[in-house]
Amino acid sequence: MKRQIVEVNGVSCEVIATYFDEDTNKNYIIYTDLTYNREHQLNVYYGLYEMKMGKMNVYPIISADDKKVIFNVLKEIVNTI
Amino acid sequence: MKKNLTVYAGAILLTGALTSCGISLVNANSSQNLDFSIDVNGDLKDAPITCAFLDYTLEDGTLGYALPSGYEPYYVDSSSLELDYVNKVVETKEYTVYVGSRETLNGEIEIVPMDGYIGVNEYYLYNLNQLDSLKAGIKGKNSLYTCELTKIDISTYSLPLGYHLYNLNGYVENTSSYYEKDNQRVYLIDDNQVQDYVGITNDVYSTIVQLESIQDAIEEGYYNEKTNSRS
Repeated sequence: MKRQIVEVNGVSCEVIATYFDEDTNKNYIIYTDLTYNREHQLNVYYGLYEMKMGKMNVYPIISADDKKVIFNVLKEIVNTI
Repeated sequence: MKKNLTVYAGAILLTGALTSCGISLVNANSSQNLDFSIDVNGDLKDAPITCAFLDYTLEDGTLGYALPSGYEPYYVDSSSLELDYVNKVVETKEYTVYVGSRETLNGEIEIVPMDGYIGVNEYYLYNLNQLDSLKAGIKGKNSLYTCELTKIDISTYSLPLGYHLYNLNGYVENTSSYYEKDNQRVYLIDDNQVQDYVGITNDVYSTIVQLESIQDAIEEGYYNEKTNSRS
């Protein structure tokens, strides 16, 4: 597995996985900024992304369909690592 | 593994986190989190729709009510008066503290307990807002998804197939009380009450039923929490 770093809102983040869904025709991303919350849990972010002129723009997931897709991707990653 | 899924070395971080305190999943570029949660066993599940307040004493001694990020206060219980104001007084990435207040008769603002409220996941709140606007649209007889009943006899009205009966007082009417004839659904409705009814499309009907089930789940969460906090 190779390492992938992206910059989101000026912060360098470690990419956990990316996924392109043919049904929704959207790119999904899961990443972490290596910070922890009050319960000492690793903050892991999920969203949609678009590449524009070599720059990655990340957007929040709003629709229930996208939520379902990212839910299944997360499940698969958790079960395989 | 899913086609088009690329897992990077960062995934190894999940292994470590899952065997210690777990991970917090946050919707990118928003404060919304806890849509999902992953426990230390690595089980991924939807976050609960409702979340009870945690007492949070502010520096001046005022009692505030804290909710994790991704949850917002929602008024449920009409046996307690709805508050005039619900203000955010502390906001961090992980939680928000709210204080409820009322305007007194002499115009002063009085801080009061947030009785009748519970925290609701903002994803569901977003959907509930849709329910309110849909119901307002039905009340205004929006022609995109409503149609008038046609009188076919005394106290007998019909709707085209594909439409459901809706009571303008805010609920879907029991759909078993009709029969089908000539591509119409025929309902027996008192002539004096027919102005309370309208037809709504299948899609709108399904959305309302689904969203009302969320509302029921919120009420259930509230009353369960109320019972638990008493015991």
